[in-house]
This record gives sequence, structure tokens and C-alpha cells, in this order.
Amino acid sequence: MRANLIAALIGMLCVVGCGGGGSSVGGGGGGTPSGANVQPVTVDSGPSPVATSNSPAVNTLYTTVRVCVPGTSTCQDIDHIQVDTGSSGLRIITTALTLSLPLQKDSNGNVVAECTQFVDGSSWGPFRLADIKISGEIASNQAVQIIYDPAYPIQTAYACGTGTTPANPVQAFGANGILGVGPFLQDCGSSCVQGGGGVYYTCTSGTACTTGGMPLALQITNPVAAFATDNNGVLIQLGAVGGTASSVSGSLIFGIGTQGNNGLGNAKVFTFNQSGNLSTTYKNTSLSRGFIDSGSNAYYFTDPTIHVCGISGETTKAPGFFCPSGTLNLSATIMGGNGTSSAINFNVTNADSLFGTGSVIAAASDLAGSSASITTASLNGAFDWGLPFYFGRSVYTAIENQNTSAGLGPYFAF
Amino acid sequence: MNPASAKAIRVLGWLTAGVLASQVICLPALATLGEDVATVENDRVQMKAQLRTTSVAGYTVHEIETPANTIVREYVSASGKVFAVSWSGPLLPDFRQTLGRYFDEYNNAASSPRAGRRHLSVEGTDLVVNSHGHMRAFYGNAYVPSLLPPNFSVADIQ
Repeated sequence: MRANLIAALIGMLCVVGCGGGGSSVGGGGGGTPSGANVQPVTVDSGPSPVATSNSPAVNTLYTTVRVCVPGTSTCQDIDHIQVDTGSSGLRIITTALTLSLPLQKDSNGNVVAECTQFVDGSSWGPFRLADIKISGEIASNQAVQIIYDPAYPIQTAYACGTGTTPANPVQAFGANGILGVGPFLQDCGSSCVQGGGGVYYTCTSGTACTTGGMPLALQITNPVAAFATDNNGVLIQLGAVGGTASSVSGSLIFGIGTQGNNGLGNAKVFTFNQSGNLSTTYKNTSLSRGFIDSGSNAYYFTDPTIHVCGISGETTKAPGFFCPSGTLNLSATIMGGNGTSSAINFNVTNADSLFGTGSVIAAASDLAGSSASITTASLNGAFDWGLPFYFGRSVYTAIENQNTSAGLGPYFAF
Repeated sequence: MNPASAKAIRVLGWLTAGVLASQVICLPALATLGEDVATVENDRVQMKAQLRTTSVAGYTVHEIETPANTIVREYVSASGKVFAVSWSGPLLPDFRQTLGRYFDEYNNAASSPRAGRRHLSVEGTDLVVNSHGHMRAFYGNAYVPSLLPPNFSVADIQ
């Protein structure tokens, strides 16, 4: 049974165009891409506080980012920054940053801060300015959020997450920081220009911050858009994973169609629908809230026929994930607003069989979780193509309003 | 668009044939999970938008659109208790206000590193939370199992 499963997996991976991990696209030869626009990335168990914890990282993509005091060569390389196509902007946990960076201020001289909304916990911190250097690319004088910066500590009154600083912020966050290279320019956009959402703040002192609107120019922004060249998007290429792996390597390549190593080649372009998402058809139901997201650690969708770990009261190490009795071979079709479609075959295995086995599992290709209420019988329109989607693929993210050979972003292509 | 002005009332296309009455109320209602629904004055920091109230057999749904364009629906039993809330939109609702005394339980679960950036599941005996998405596209719901009206299906939390 297992031999057949492995053979089926290998067959599936070759259908989607394997050619060895990290192969280049767009006319280049085989092998690992190289160049000033190529940055190595890894899937591993995370920085030390995470890797040695009870919950080492799974399906989390990391890279090293260099930040410098603006206009100087005073720099620091910070490893295990999560690479995230579902957000925009660079954020660093304060305990991982040793550089002293200047604060970003608005036109009134007040410091800008943010309560960044992540579903698994909001992150508080002021913005400081840095030159961001990744591979040979430079984004100058960018706002970088310093999460839990002690100079502007979180206050209960800000109503941001727990209202307190975690004892081990890197362990709580799962990374030393996060690099948002998603399809949108600003992390929030127009929803935060008008205020009222409790996201952006201006601070007149270290303990006096008030929430309000924030103009786009001061909102934290995808640093790729600020590169001098190769600034219209990114290409992520990861090695194939047939089941589980203790690590995976790959490349974060800047630019779409700007160098010999980042052309679209045979990739198909998927533009967004009216709600800013991709559509996905799963089991004959069209779901409007689809998205491709390197920051998600699994596939997430709703399927009441698949047993959810722990739902019957049994002990589980993976609440909310799927625990079918065997491995399921499934398929769903991604469709862009432009009508482009592609059928994707994927597997879902029992999540509890992966966790707590004693061996290091940093990558799991067949990990999936429930996207809805664990007891609801309705499909709620969502399909999250998380990091497993990237294994063995070349996935492009085009940035809004930036021009590419296939038109303006935003779009995904694969 | 003037953010302080009233938002357009959304048509609830999902209403079933069981709708008994449908009315528009101009005073926004602030309600917290597990508490009695109450009508209060505008809170400029919290929910502030027009309200649409729909009565279905056995419960009422109050729909609010926040200044950030997030739709929040509050499900109220016949005795006036908020037994479920749902949200959909670009920003999360204020969970301290929305979840009230259940906020701490939600927050403890929100520290679980296994869930990942985009999904959170709380499966407690007195609180169930399903929260998903990313900035610009959040959606989710929360409910108190012991407060669900008889014959209510959680599938009806939209």
C-alpha cells in the first residue's frame, strides 16, 4: 500500500512539472538558479527558540534578511524571517534586532505604530526605518515594524491582542520576523486610511499612542516594490516533498520577467476576482474565497466528510487539522478572475500521524486543516492553498499596479 | 466616501423562507457574546454603522457594517442572549468587545503556534471560535454551545 502511494505521489509530482528541486524557468537550464535577484530560502523547524520548543515549525518558509541603518553600511543579518505571500512588509521581533534604527514619524512628528492583525494573534510595534537588503536587491529607507519594541511598549488600553508582551516573543511568533511579499502594496490599504479599525496608531510618547487613520504613504509596504529593479513581484521555487521532510530548500527570486531566471515561461496567470481572491471549485462547489499563501502551513478548506482531529473528543496534537483514517487523494480547480483554470491534485493525510512521532518533521506535503466551524455542515466559500502548494512548483506573485509581461498585478501565476 | 456617513444596507441574500419580519433600525446595537443584547450610543472606536435586523424562527440576526467595511452578525435568542457572532471583511472586529468574558479563552488559544498565521480554531466546551484569513480578507465565527436555541444548526451561522 505504501509503495503504491509513493509511486502515485511521484507520478503526480512529475505531472506538475518536476525537474529536480529548484530548477529554473523561462529558458534557463536546469539546476539551482543564481544571480543578484536570487535569495535562498528554507523550510525547517525554525529559529532555536521555536525548533527546541514543544511546537517546532511545520511548513514554514524562512530566509535571511539584511537590515541596515539607512544610508550606512551598519547592518545586521537576521535569519529565520518567514517568507509570506499573504501579507506585505517586513516585521522583526525586537529581541532578534540588535541594530539601532531611527523611528518613522508622520508629518506631525509623531511615531507611527501598528497593531498588525494576524489570525493567530495580533502583533504590536512601532515603525523604524531601515535599508532592506536581500540578495543583491536594496529597498531604501523602508518602514519596518519592530514587534514588541520596548521603547513603545504595548499597553492594555491599545486593545491589541493580549495587551501584553510574551515572555518569549520569537517562540510565540514562530520566527524572528516576517517578510510580506504578497500581491498588495500596503498591508492594509484603504481600510486603514479612514481609521476605526484599531490597526494604525500615532504615538506622542512611548506610552501614549492613539489609533486613527493612516495615509497609504505611511503604511508598511511590500519592500519588493521599492527595489530599483526586479520590483514587480516574486517567484518562489521549492523542492518537491513526497510526504514529509526534515528540511526543504528553494529560492525566492525577485522580479517577474526581468531577468533570465524569472520569466513566466509556461506558467498560467490567475487574476483575482472581485473580492480580491481566487476561486476554487472543490467537489462541484465553487468557492469564492481562494488564495495561494506561503504563510499558511497547510491546505485549509471545508469538507464535512473528512474527520477533524479531536472533534469527537479524542486526544489530538493537531486540533482543527484533518485526521482521515487513510490518506485521501483529492482534487480542486483554481480559477482566476480572468477565467484561467487549473486542476490541482493533492493528498490529505492524518495530521496526528505526523506530529509527535519523535522524528523532525519540518515539511509535510499532505497536511490539511478545516477552514470552517468544526461542526458546521455548510461550505463557506474558502480554500487556502498554503505552503504545500509550493512544494515542487514555481509560483509567481505579481504586485498590484506593477507592470509585467502578462499585464498589471495583482495576480498569481503557476 | 465620508467614513462617518451611514453605510449602505446590505441585502442578505442568504435569507431562507423562514424569515418572519425584516426591519431596519437606525440605532446601532452593541452586543457581546453571551450577554444580553443592548442598544447603546455610538462608540466611535468600536462598531459604528447602520444596523439591519432580521428575525428568523427562534432567533434574530443583527447585522452591522463597521467603518472598516467588516460585516459583523450577532445572533440573538428569543430571550435576548447573544449566542453567536460572525464576521467577514478586511479587518478583524474588536474581540474584546465581541467576545466579552470569552476573550481570555480566545486569547489563550491565539498563542498556539501550531495554527499558523491564517487560521485559528478554539474547541472549548463553552466556546467555539473559527477564525481565518489575512488582512484584507478575514472571516470567522464564535458561539457558545450551551446558548444555542433549540433546533438551531451551527450551519446557519453565516
